[in-house]
Amino acid sequence: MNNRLLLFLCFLAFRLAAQDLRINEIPLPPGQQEGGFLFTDRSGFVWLGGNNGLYRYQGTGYHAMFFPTGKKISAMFQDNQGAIWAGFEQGDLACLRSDSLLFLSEPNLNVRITGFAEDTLGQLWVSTYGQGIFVRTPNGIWVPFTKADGLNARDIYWLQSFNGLITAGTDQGVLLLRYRGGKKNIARLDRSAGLPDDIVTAGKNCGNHLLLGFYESSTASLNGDLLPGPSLSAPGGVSRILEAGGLTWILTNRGDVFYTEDRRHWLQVNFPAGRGEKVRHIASDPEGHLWVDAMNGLYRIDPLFQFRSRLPVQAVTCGGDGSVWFASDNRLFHLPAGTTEAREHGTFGNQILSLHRDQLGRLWIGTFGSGLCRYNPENMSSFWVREAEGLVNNNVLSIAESSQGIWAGTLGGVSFFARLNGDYAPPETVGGPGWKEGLYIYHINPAADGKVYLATDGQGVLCRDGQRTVSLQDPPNGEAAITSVMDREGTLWWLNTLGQLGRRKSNGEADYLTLPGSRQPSALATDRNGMIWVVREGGLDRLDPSASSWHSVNGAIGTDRLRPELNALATDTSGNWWIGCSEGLLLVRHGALPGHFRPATLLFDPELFFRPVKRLSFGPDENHLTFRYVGRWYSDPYRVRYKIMLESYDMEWSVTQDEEVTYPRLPPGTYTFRVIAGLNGEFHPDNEQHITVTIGRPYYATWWFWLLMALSAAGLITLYIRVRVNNIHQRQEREKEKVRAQYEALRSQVNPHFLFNSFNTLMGLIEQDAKQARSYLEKMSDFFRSMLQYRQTELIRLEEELGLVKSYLALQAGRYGENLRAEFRVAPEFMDSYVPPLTLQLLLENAIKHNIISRSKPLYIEVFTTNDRLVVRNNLQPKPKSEPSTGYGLSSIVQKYTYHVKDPVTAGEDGQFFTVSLPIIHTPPHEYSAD
Amino acid sequence: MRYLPGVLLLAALGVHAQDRLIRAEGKASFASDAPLELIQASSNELRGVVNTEENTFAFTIPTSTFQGFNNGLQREHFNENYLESKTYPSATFKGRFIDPLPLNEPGRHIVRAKGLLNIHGVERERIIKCTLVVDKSGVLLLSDFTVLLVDHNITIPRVVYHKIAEEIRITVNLRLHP
Repeated sequence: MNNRLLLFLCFLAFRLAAQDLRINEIPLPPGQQEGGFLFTDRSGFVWLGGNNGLYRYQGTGYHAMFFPTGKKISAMFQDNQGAIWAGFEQGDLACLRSDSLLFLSEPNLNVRITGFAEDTLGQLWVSTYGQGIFVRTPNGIWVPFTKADGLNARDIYWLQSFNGLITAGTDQGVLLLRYRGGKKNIARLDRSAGLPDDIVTAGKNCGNHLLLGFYESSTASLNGDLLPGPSLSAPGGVSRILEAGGLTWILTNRGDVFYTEDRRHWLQVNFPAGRGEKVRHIASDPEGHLWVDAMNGLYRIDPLFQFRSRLPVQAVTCGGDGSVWFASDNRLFHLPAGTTEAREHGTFGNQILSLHRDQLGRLWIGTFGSGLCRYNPENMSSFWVREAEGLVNNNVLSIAESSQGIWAGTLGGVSFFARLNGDYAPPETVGGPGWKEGLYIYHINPAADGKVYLATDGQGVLCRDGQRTVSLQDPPNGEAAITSVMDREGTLWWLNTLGQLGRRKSNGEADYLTLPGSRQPSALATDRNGMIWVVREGGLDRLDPSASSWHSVNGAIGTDRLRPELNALATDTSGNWWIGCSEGLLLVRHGALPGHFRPATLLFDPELFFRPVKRLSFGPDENHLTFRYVGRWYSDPYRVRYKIMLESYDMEWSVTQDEEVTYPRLPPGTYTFRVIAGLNGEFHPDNEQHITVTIGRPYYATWWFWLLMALSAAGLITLYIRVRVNNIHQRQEREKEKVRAQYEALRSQVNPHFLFNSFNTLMGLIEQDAKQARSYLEKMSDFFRSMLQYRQTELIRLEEELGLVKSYLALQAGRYGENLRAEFRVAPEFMDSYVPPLTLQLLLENAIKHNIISRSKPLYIEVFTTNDRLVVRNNLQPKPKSEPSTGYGLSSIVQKYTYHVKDPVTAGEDGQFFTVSLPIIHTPPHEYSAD
Repeated sequence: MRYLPGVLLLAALGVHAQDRLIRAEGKASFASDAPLELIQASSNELRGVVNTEENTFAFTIPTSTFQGFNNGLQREHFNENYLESKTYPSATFKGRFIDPLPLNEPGRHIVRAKGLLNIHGVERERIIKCTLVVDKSGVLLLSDFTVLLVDHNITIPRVVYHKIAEEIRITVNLRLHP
C-alpha cells in the first residue's frame, strides 16, 4: 500500500506549452470565406449569417438556408412560437419557414435592422439604425415610433425585452418602451439616472439583469427594478456584451474580446491569428461556450475548463481574497484575483504535497519529508514545524481547518494546531479512545456537522468527534480511503482505492456505489445543487444522488488524458474549483455547466428516395423514407448517440451513432419516427423529437376498390347468365325446329300416299317384271336408309343430296313415268357445297304435290346452279284442289338457311314458273359452333 | 470659388431657414507619429455649417490644402499616393450632435458629434468628442481624434511602413459665427 501511494505522489508529468483559454477553430461553411453574424436559437444551435445564406452549425457540419447574394444579416431572433426572424443590413426583414427565408414586404425599410424583441403580448418589435423602432400588432400592422411619440433617437443600437418592457439602446440612454391598446409609452434612463454614459451601444437580457455596454468604455447592468448597478470601466467602447460560461464578455469597437471573472478586472482573449484579429460578432450557447466570428475564422471558446498554469500541480488552496496558491514540485506560486500570470514565492522542502491558507492570510505548506511550513506572504517569512518541533510525521499530505484549529494529516497520524488568542498553538498529536497509532492519513475533512472525517489507509474513514474516534466501517474492512466530503443533506461520501464511492447517510445507513468508469479517482466535491463530483483520470463524473444518475465530462476538458493529483482540489470565492493535475492547474467553472448533459435533438424533414420533401403523407409506391436528425453537443459532438425507433414498424428502440436512418420498403400504414439524442448512454424522454408519416394503401387494397370490383363482377355474371340463357333458348328453338323437321320429313317420307303409290307401283312391277321390281324395292330401301341416315345431320354435301333426290325421283318415276321430268344442271365446283339434308327432296316433293302431272301436262323440274345460288324451278300448273298443306315445307327450309347464311332464300312464281332460289353454303358444317 | 464648399454644404443639409445656421471655419492639422518619422501638416481651409435647430452639422476640407510637410516630396506623396486628392478632393464629416449645444452658456462643454467621416472616399460612422468653449470672444469647437488608415482604405507601401503611423491623430480648431 505504501509503495503504491509513494509512486502516485512522486509521479511527475510533462510540462506543456502555456495557454489560457481553450480556443477551438471551427471550419466555415463550404464556399464561405467569412461569417458576419452569429445567433443562438432556443435549442442552443449556433447560426452563422454568411453572404448568401444562413448556416446552422450542428457540431459536425452545417445546415444551409440560402438567401439572395449581396444581402447581409444584421439581426436575428427566435420568437416564443419558435419562428426565426432575420433582419438585414439593407433593411429587409425575413422569417424562416421550413428551410427557406420568406421576405416581408412591410415595413419597407432601407436601413440596417439592429434588433428584434417580443413583448408580453406577443408583439414583435424591430429596431433600425436610422429609422427608429417599429412594433407589429397582432393583426399584422407595423406601427412606427416617431418623434411625436417621444422617440428622439433614430439610431437604435439594440433591442431586448426585459422585465415585461422593451428596452432599446440609443445615443440618449436606454429607452423603455411599451405598446398596449394603441397607446405608446416611452421612458428613458440616461446619465441622470446613474448610467455611466448616454450612448448605450450594447445590451443583453441575462435573465434577472440587463447587461449594458457603453460607447465611453464602460459597462453596467440594470436589475429587475431597472436600477443600474455599479459601472465597470471597460478597455474600449463596447459594441456587444453577453454572459457565457458564468463570465461577462464584451466585444469592443476595435474588434477585441475581453472577459471578466470578478467584475473588476478585464482579461483579453488572444486569438491564434495574433493581434491582427478583428472580431465582428460574439454569441453564447447553453453549454457555456463563447462563439466568436472574426476576420480570420470562427472560434468556439470554452471557458468552463481552463488551464491557468501548465506546470504539474500537486497542491492548491484558495484565499478569501479570490487569489489562488498552488505548488508545483517544491515551488510555491500565487495567482492574484483577476490575473492569469502566477508569481513564484520560492521553494519549500523537497516537494509540496498540501497547502492551506488560514484565516490570518498565512499559508500552511505540507511537504514530503520536510515537515510543515507556515509562510507569511506579506513579509515572506517562513516558520517550519518538523518532527523535532512536535509534528507527528514529516510527510504532510493534507491540511484543513475546523472551527477549533488546523489539522495536519501525515504518513504517521494527525497533528492538531489549536486556535489560541488569534494565533495557533504548537502541534499536539491526535490520539485517544479508538485511535490507532501510525496511521497514514490521506485527507482531512472538517465537515459541517462539527466532526472531522479522516481518510485513512487501512481504517477507512474515521470520524473524530471531540476526543473520541469512531470508524465508519463496522466491522472495519481495512479499506484505504482517499478522500471524503459531506453534502448538504449530511450524507458523507468517500472514495477508496478500489474505485468505490462510499455513502453514509445521516441516519447511519451505509453502502457503496460503483463509479461509472474504471479510471482512477483522486478527489471528491459537492456543488450548490447537491451533486457529488468525482475527479478522476480523464475527467469528472457527476452523481445526482436523488436520481442515482451519473453524468460524465470527458472531452470537454480538452484532453482525454487528464491526471489529477490526489486531493489537489480547492474552491474559490466564486465557487469555482481549482484542480491540480499533471497537466497543470485546471480551473473548473462547474456552476456554469448545463444542469443536464443532454444534447438538444433536431429532426429534419423526411427524405423520399434521398430527397427532402415537405409532406408527411405518401403514396403506396413512395415507400423509401430516410429520417435525418442531429444532436447538439458542441463540447463533444462525436460522443453523441441516438436512440431511434419507427413506431409500428420497429419492434424496439435501437441506439446508433449515425445521423440518419433509411427505411427502404415500408408497407402502407401510419408510422411515428422517434429519436432521442443522448450522451454516455443516457437518453432522456424530454429530448425526444418525433414525426408521423403515412404511407397510403394501393388502390387494390382500398374498400371502395373492392366494392367496385364486386359490383362489376356481379354485373358481368348477370350479363353472362342472360346471354347464356338467351343462347340456350335459341338452341332449344333450333332443336325443336330440327325435331320438327325430322318429324315432318319422316312423316312426309311415310306419307301414306307415297307409300301406297310406291307399293302399288311395286305390286304392278312384281307381276310384270320381277327383276325390275327387285330394283325398285332396292331404290326404296336406299331412299329410306338415306332418310334415316341424314335425319340427324345439319348439312350434307350437295352431291349426296342430289343422290338422294335421284333415288326419290326414281321411286316417283314408277308412278308418273315420262310425265315427270327432272333435269339436273349442277356445276361440278358446287358439288362440294352444302345443303340442309332433304332440302331438294322437299322442294321436289312440293312441286309433285301441288302441280298437275299428266301426259298432256307433264311437269318439268329443273335443278341448276347459277353463280352462287342453287335454283329449283318447275313449270307452274297448280292442281285445282290442292293436297292439304302442312304449312311447313318451304318455311322450314327458309328457317334452316337463316342459321347458315346471310343470303335469303327466295321463292316465287311468275305465272309460268315456280322458282325457289337457295344460297350456296360453302362452309363445311363442322366450322359452326354448336350454338 | 472660395465659398463654393459652404454653398454646397448648405444645399446638402437641405435646410432653408438660414437664420438657424451657423457658419464655422477653422484649422485642421494631423500628425503621424511613426517610429522613424514624425509627419505634421495643417490646413486653414476647414469650413462648415451647424444647424442649431436640428443639431446637425457638416464640415469639409480640401485635402490638397494641407501644408507643412517635412519636404515637398512628402506632400506630393500625401496628395497623389495616399489621399489621392484628384479623385477625392475633400474630406468631410457630417451628422448630428448627440448632446445639446449650449452656445449661450459661457464655459467649456463636452459635446459629441456623431456622423459619417469621409476620407479618401470611404465613409465611416464616428462619434467624435468635441469641446465647446463659449466665452466673450466667441464660440470655439475643439476636437482631437484619431483615424485608422485601414478604415479608409489608405494603404502604405511596405518601404515607408516605419515612416507612417497606422493611426493618424487629427486636431480640429473651429470658430463658430452665431
